[in-house]
Amino acid sequence: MGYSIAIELTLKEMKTLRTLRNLALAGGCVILFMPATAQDNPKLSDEEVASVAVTANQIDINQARLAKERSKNTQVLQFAETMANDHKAVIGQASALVKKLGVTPKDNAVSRQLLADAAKTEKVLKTKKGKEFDKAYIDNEVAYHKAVISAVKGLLIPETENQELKDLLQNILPALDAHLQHAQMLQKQYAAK
Amino acid sequence: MLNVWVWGLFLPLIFRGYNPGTESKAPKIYTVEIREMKFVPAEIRVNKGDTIVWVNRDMVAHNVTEEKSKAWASPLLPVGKSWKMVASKNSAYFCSLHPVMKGRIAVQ
Repeated sequence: MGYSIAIELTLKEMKTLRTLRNLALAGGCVILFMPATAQDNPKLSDEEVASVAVTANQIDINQARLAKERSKNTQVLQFAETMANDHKAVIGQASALVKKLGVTPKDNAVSRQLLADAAKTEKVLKTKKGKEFDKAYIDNEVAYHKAVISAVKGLLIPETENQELKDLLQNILPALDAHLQHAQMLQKQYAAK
Repeated sequence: MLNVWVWGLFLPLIFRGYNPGTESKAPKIYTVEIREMKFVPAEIRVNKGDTIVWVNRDMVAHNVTEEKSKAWASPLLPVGKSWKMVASKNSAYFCSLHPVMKGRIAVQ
């Protein structure tokens, strides 16, 4: 099943945003943002970067909560528990840093788009049960972590002015990468069955 | 005089333990840092009886678990916490929360 949805955002401070690329995944309609090139990226203040970072982590916590409600698979449940705990820890550290820096996370087009896409993903996940849910959840986790890693590297880090906030984003990458590899490991197990 | 000679001969044995042949090696303490979702160093070579201390310097909680049969495992190690174990045999280990994180203990 393939989906191709064009999303347009119009904000005064944004350049043309042809950067929202759609990810079509087999078995689910998961839509994520993926900046194509640095020059197409929206301009974000540090307040907006902080909001996007917190939102992206919160979305994965919410989806982990859904998995804990719907899955009965031990490995999926353990993965979801790890996602919830790790992303909570990251939000905790990000919150402590923005408090220290006196930065107040500011809602923006990217964080709103992330939330809108997450709502669509959750709607699809809620239609699935059992193994079908597990597969869709793990497929989404693979796609989501790929998209977030790409966004942190290609959008959030380059847009961040404050060095401590930049360092925090850089430090998040190994955890995101480990989550992606973990999700891919589970995805391969499903493919082998 | 004889007493002094006898005590001079045996006292070192009493206090250092009786070790025929070679001098015993004092156990050492080695540290493995957990950072950036890795065990650093990933492989550690120690002697039997040495102590290995794992210190979590990462952003998230981890554990240290023997990989093959979960023969031994640390408790959950929140950020900043550590756990130690006396090495007795070769082991492959991992973090069961993040199974892509792996390490090895080679006992010489």
